Amino acid sequence: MTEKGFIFDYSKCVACHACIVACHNHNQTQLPLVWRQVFKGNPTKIPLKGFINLSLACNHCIEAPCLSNCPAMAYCKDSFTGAILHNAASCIGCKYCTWACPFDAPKFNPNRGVVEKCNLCNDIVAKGGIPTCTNACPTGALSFGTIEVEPSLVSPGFPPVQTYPRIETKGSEAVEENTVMDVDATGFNPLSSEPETHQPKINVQAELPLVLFTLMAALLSGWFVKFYGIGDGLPRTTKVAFTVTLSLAGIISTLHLGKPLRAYRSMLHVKSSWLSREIIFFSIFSLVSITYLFTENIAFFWLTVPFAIAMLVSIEMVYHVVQKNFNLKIHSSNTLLTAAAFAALLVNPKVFIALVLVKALLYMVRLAYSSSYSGKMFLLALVRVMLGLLFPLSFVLLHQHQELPLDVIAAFIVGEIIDRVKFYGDIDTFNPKKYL
Amino acid sequence: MKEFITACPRNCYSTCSLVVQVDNGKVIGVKPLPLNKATPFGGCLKGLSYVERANSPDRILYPLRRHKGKFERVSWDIALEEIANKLQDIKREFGQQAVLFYAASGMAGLLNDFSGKFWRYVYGGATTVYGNLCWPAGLEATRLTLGENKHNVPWDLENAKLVVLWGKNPAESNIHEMIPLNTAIDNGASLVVIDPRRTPSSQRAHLLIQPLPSTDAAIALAVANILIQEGWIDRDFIKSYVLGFERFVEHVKPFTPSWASSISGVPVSLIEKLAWYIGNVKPMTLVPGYGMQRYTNGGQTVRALLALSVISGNIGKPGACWHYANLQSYVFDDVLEPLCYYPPKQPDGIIRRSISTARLGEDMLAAREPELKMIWVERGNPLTQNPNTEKVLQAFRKLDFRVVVEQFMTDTALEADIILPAKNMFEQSDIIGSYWNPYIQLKQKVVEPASEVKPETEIYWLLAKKMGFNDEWLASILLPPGDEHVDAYLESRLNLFNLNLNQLRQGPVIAPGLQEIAFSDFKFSTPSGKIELYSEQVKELWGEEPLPVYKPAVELFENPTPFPLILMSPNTKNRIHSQFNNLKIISLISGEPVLQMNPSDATERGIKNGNLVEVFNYRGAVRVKANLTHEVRKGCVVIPNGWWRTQGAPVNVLSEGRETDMGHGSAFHNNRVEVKLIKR
Repeated sequence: MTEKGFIFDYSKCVACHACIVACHNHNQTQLPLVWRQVFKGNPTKIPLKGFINLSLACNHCIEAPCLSNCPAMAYCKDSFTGAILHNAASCIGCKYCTWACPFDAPKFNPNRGVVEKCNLCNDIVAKGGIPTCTNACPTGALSFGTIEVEPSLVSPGFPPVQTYPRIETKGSEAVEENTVMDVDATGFNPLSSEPETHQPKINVQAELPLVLFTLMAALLSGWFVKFYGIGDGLPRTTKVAFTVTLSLAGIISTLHLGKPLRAYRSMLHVKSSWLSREIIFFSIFSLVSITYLFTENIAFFWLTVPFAIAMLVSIEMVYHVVQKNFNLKIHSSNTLLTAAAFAALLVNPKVFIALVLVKALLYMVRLAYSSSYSGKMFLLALVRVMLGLLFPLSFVLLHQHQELPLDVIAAFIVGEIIDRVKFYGDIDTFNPKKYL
Repeated sequence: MKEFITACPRNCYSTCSLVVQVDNGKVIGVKPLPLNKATPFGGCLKGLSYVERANSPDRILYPLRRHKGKFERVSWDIALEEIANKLQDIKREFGQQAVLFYAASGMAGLLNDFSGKFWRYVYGGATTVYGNLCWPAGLEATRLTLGENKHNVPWDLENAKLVVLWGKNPAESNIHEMIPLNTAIDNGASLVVIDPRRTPSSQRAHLLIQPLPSTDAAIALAVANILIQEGWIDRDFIKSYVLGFERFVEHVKPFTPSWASSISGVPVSLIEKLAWYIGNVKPMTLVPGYGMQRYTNGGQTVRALLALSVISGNIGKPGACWHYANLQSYVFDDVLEPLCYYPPKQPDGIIRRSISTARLGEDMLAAREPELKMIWVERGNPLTQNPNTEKVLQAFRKLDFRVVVEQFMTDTALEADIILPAKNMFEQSDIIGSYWNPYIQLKQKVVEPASEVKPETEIYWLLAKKMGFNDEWLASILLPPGDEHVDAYLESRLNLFNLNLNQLRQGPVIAPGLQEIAFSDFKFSTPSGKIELYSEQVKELWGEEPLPVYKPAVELFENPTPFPLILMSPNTKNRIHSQFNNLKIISLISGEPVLQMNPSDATERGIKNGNLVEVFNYRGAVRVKANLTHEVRKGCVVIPNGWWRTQGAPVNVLSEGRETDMGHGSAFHNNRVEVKLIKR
């Protein structure tokens, strides 16, 4: 389809950064935050390999993943200019759009607690002008005009994600133009040269609330199965413990928000955001499961089950936007699997044996996908499998009819934490720098 | 909001035309002015950063006086009173020449002449410097060979079929040159880049040659040898316009590719390939940079390179040119560069020009009869930019009194006794030329000076008044305060060329008498009227060989040495020398200072990417993080110049103050260092 959009010429961009300054001038971004960035290919200038740059801000995609995934409906599309606009007043600071965008366009501003991003200089474009960055490019590498929009671009720096970005590229043969040079002068040794490493955007430390929340949701779902047919009624302490843990999970889920007080907004976009669905199903799950515990009416048990499943499916679907370094439909830390395994540990040893084997196998396969190995990683993997899976497994095998001691449950949970943490290390957002 | 046309007055090739947006007396935007054919798409990141620079909270807005180690705000009255008293005391006790007037290239303009007039006619004399930090060796080499410094208009580059960037990195130092360069390549031209670094300008290069710094002349002489042997020369051109070719033919015979290879570290095959390009692809524009001539052999290096343009007949035609400096828009100057850099043959007893810019610290300390007692610095930051910072600092601290006119708290301002707030480019009109594009431009006043800021012309006026001179007499020498006097003065200068201010307010004006294709008349204002491959003047003026030779640069190839790495300190796109990096947006882009280092040199020293290292020699030391990259040739390390001491990497603490072989330039690239690991 034909649209107005950015035109980028690799052969003319020398990473001069004028576009960034022009953007900052016009939009007065709060430094060090800027909305446009210049990605550098072959940054260490490995010889006989070309180097090109890519200047990107928001591509105002026709199928904008930021807009469709935002749980708080903070994004909208300008019907006239087609600009994808972000409304800071509606943003809850969950940063999910920064995961969903394959171009690293939305930026979280920690001072304001919300995301912000390129607005296409909508004020100028609405009046028939062009974005400031394109107006300021001193070499003509970045311009704005009528383009043909493709589902995704097969160009350097463009992740293979179909968002219909409003940008056209040319001149990428500059990277192929082979410069005749003296490799010896560059001191290049292919044997000792270290591969390029990228600082991942999703990092476990920063995402600890998410690790805990998703894992707690899985364990609570599993635990809930044990409450089937309460019979004599549950001890009050169990009821209270379940309720408290559930509330804790809810509180933890808001901890990574830039604007926790706006957490309620996360449920607004149930129509297209899995994050909204996750929060809604979690809320309903909480409500119905607690009602069951305190009314002991079995109807509420059966009512809880579909919502628990919907919640766990939603949790999994939240991660459909990220790039995984493993190629598995279901991985060992899948929350549905974890919930099932935990439930089985508590109520059905035979199923538990089967699920432990599945989990162990999936875990090994995921480990095999790792790009690098360290002693620490090996040790953790050992703990995860021995303590988290084999220890509970051996207990179940040896003492089938005994009451499950707390240390076995604790061991299982420790194993799951290790697995879940590793999972966050195995995923990252799509990012142009990985494709340049 | 109002829009004004203006031009950037920095010491930069591009000299962009800009449209400035002003709202409520505040600069709020900078936009391109397509009327300038050399900079049609607008300024670089620095030009755009004027929005921050003009409104920066760090700007010096009123006079400051050092008091007990701290700067305190004082009134203009007190500041000027103190300076006037000092000046008069010094004059009485030691004579006017005990005052050093130091001005550099911080802001171009015709009004700068009034500073010199104050010192010569009002104060009655002073000491100033001779020479220049930048480009004189190449200017003099070109002047002695071609007669003058001019080249084809920038957009003619697109007519070239071969572009040789020899030590120039326009992607960073002259980004607008990339426009015609890219057009040329798109139209099938070949690009050869010769630089120890694989710079951003080499992105589309067909051939990249990475010699050891300062060995360029050896390569050029070997290429000349090949061209002559292969007959890849323009015999008709040589016969008509060149002096000394026969001698040159004999002269280059011993300079074989393998000889050049052993000196430069460039494989013979690449030298031959370079010769093939120059000999067979026409027209060629050879674009030498200014860094490559800041060595003790800089003048002869440039003469050797220029010889290639000459014998291949690539002068005076579309697409064919020696693209060093284009002074055609400097129509207002009585004496052009480089001649105006030279000390007078006979001192006039008023202005003493005994201090070399290149050896500022050393020569300041050595000045006698009278010794220096005071310095006045404007448009410059010598404590960052001049070689051998420690010496310069020592010389500064030995003085009794230091006045610095500045916009920001530079390393030099921090050493001042009194700082006077300097105007910025938007606060006073002036006329500027360019050493690259052919335009005369008006740098327009678009806002009133901020707070208590006063233009230099007004500072001198008020200072003279404090010294007791009357208005009437002063008006015959200096510029009285007020925009009407500025405009009248500029108008009078323009009228000489049938130009006027209103014309310039509409946009850049082509310099009168411009030759679009330089030397297309094949007139060369050398003593012989020909291109002088053989130049007697080289011998007479500089004591160098009349034919271009390669001489090893001082310090770089002495063996053995405790400092085995060659330090390069090129310009970066993020600064013009030491300006701009104090701005938040620029410092965000330039990041923290680093030492660029080849991974093979780093491995030998146990250094990994990101480690803190010390770069040192017997002059000084700098501590920065190491950035390992194949961009830098083995054996070289790079810290771009212009970082302030307070920003962490003042590279000139490592450089030595030496003059170039010609032109009184500064050979401050002749530096070797060692690097050691400080912290992982």
